[in-house]
Amino acid sequence: MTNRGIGAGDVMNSDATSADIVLSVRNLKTQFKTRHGVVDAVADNSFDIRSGETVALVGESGSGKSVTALSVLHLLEETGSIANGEVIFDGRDITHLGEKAMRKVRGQEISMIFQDPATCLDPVFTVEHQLVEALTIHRSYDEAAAKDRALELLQRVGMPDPESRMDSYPHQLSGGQRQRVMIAMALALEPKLVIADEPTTALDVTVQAQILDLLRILQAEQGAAILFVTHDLGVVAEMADRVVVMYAGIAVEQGTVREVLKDPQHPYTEALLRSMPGRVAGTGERLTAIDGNVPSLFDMPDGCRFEPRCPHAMDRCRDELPDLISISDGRASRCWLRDESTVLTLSADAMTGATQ
Amino acid sequence: MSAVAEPVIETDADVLMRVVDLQMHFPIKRGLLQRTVGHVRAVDGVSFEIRKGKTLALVGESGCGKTTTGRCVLRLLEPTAGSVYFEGRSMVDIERSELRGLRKRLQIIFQDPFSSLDPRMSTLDLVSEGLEIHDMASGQARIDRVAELLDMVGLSRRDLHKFPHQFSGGQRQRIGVARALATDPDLIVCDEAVSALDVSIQAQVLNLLKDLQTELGLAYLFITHDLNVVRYIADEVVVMYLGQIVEQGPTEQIFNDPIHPYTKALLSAVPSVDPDVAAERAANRVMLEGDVPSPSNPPSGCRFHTRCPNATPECSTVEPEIREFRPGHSAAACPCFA
Repeated sequence: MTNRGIGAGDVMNSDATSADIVLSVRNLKTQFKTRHGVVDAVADNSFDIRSGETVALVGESGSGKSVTALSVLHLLEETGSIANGEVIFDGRDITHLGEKAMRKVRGQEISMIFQDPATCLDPVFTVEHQLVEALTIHRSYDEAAAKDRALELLQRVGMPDPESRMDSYPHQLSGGQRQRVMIAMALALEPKLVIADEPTTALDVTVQAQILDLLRILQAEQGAAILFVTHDLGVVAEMADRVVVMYAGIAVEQGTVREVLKDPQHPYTEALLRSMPGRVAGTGERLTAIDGNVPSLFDMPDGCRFEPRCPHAMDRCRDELPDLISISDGRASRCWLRDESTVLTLSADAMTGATQ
Repeated sequence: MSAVAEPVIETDADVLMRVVDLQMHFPIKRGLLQRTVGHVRAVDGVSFEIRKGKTLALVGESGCGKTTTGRCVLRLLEPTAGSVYFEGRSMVDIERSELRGLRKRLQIIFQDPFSSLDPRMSTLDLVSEGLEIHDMASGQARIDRVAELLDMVGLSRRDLHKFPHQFSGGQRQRIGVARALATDPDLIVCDEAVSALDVSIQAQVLNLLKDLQTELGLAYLFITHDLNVVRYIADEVVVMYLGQIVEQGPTEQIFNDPIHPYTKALLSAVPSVDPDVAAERAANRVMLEGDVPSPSNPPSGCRFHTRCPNATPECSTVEPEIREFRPGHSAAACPCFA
């Protein structure tokens, strides 16, 4: 049992020195107090992000992907708190950092881009005011220098007609333009880590392509690490180097994007890919839906959380939640099918299923 | 049924609905006297046909007029101009009383399964609302019919007396489907019917809609922005941009061999889950600049010319005509490529 269950750090590539690691989340557990009791929105999540790397957290509604991101930044609602685990940023444990120190981290070292820029930008201030404010508070720019820098930032994020846009209020901008302003603000302070929570979900597909392209270019220039939270595996395939797949509050699989999307090792990842219409497009094949629903946070199965919907479920799955089981460097799956004692008894069709 | 002296046009036997030059202009009112200062030309000359038992998808980005078109063909909105024929009969000049009879045969499923169901109504009441309005069943017959419908959409008799909040998003959308099926329609307008659902649930509902189509011979007007869904569900595709059709044709032809630069750009912008295809698409992507212009003041000439990668000076003056490039596959024949 001891060599099967592994610490989160071991899951990641061993060739990387820990100095590269910008963010390390270990066994994160985030709970919310509700009227009906305490729920684990994130029950167990571990991953590392190295500098210049994009890691995607992917999952459906209620998987805990956004809560993981908000936990890292201490932006949880009042009823939520980190109950277990560690968040290590740039070698420093920030899990229980005080609000004052955390505010500094948020402004200067980690920035966030949200799904809906319309609600994040202040509607009563101009674009210029909001950019200048960020620069003067966190980077001791004087007013004039901040103004120049703000304009330069708008140019860099590809804002059309940046001079006149400086005087615009958020409602005068389109969704794509607002997201560009958000990105400009996020990059203004040259953070080591950018957390992007569904940054293109509210945008049309041609505008999404522009924004993803912009993020890629800016990352290449600045070398920031990106934690990309999304429900869209297509966006993952385009944007990320590595991916953590979440289901009902736990990380079920992780690895490089190519490995996970081409050769999923967890039955949930496999089933999720098979239910995507883009995958059977043009073949006339029928989609394989995942029967049933995501379990309620108030009524989680004791064992594996995917067990009630899993085509490969065994008795063991009902009773025991497996750990993340390492498959190879940086590759892990939280499934008893990967456990040595069960691998031998795997049925032939489960094998073909997992490798399709 | 075309024996009545109604405005009748010739129609292929398999055409269920024919939309001809549909226009919907919304007035923009300003000032104290609410004077009309302009119009939003949400739909501006749209024509297509929906075949019996087939799925036609209307696709396009926000503001392209796809939802408005869907509302107009059901006469939930009164179109400014143009005609809609259902089985050869005009729906625009029809009497109110007769429209009611037609409404039985035309139904809609909305995007948001949370706001489209009245939270105070039980499943039984929600699904049987149409049955009552059209006097189709009452008493035990009503309950039996609803139970049958629930069974068809993958719910059960046990759900009859539950309320919307007791269901998940996917189950609510199944109630929406059962509601639409209650009056035994021929055409269902699905307005972003699966867009709010998680992908694993979306697949369930898409398969359900496909099965029901085979079983009941339903036609769908499928309105969505999701091109992967379109390719899975639709037989034919109409691509819209700023209130007008830029391209229409059989689904696989549109996806494999798009003609119009906008269709090409739209298709190339869709992220693929296959890392190899994703890399290839990203490399060959036709990146469009800027956003969709406002439909209250659409660009002159070809409406796409402000974002078109191959626009010529001519494009801003000449309004392109729709031309059939291949049998059943037509596009706005823009000077920049045609």
